Amino acid sequence: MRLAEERSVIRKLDQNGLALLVVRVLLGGYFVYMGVSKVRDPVEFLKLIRLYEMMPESPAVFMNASAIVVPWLEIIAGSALVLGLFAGGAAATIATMLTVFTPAIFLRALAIRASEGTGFFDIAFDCGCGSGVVIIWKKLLENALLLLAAILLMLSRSRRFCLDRVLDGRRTRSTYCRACGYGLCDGVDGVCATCRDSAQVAAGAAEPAG
Amino acid sequence: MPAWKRTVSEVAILGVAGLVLGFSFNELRGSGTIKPFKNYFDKGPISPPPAPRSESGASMGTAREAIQPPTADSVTAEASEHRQHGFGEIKLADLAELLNDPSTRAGLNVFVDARKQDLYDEGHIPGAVRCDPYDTDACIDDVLNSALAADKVVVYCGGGECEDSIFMCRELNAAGVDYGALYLYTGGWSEWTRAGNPVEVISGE
Repeated sequence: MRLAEERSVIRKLDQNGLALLVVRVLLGGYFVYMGVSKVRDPVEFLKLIRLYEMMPESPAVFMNASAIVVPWLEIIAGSALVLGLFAGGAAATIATMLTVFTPAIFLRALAIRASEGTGFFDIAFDCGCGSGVVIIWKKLLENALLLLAAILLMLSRSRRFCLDRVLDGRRTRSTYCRACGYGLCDGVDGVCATCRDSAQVAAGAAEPAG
Repeated sequence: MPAWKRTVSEVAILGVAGLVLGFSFNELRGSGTIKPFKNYFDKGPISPPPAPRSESGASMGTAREAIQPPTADSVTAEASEHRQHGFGEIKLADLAELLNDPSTRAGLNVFVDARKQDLYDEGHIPGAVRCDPYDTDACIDDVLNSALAADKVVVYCGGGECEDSIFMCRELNAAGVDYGALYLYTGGWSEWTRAGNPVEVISGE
């Protein structure tokens, strides 16, 4: 019963779409900002990537391509998330980047701790995230929250306040329920099975009274 | 289309868009272009001479006596790694002496600043020319004009863990500057200013 209530709250949040819109704008805007700051000085970003020692210096193409593409991927995914265009894919892209970056930052912090003997909570360096020198434990916490938000958006099926909904409506008229904007409709009447069932139940309940 | 398939295809579209925009912008931007296949972090000379030189400027002639012993903080792991570059080094006192040497006024010694433009404008070793090791196309010709005929070419950057001077040395060596003429000033700008040596500033005019 309680679980059902909780699920109902999450579902209402999802259906309402406003909370997701706020999360989308904040997360997407943050990634656009970080991407732009890297695009301004790609060489500096390249130097910072090198410090992680995740990729070989030779052949250089992998590291160089990362410095060229990653900032733009952040800008594109962030913009897409804000606009609600390819929202699921944008959230998945951001979640993937965070899943790669966050352990890399953690491992580098551990390496610095081992080599310099600095306390973990005192470690600060420019992680190449676009925000300069940062206290690392705070950055890791921030990334964990961002990852959580990205996963939430990735799993959400709501496309309210999304360009996706407009485009889907034009293209197929059958992807998302026109009643709740959340469920996937089956193409019969543009609504999802849940909404159709609810409508039938409501109609059934109304009949005896009538 | 199932939700997961849709997500995967969206990720693929965004990835391709990132690739196209990233490489296009990289090609079109005026400065800061990254050459995809170039290894910017190659260390060491391309054509070392048969006999290795000492690290402390043994070929600096009269400046040899002015060599300073390494300070405690210079003997760090970073510093020892910094020395694995294969180029000769020049110390602070040697450089200060070289700056006032008549041969410098005669253009036989060249100083190359491998830092960013704004840092160079804020102050640099008097007479130093700036060249960015990551964007040599824009400056290498100017440097080579004087460096190819010079007895000594001293390259420096920020100091500390900065490695840009090493990469600049390699670029100059690759462009034809003799290995024997190239010297690294690993103390860099931080040591130079800390010691109260003269600086030259680009005015805002």
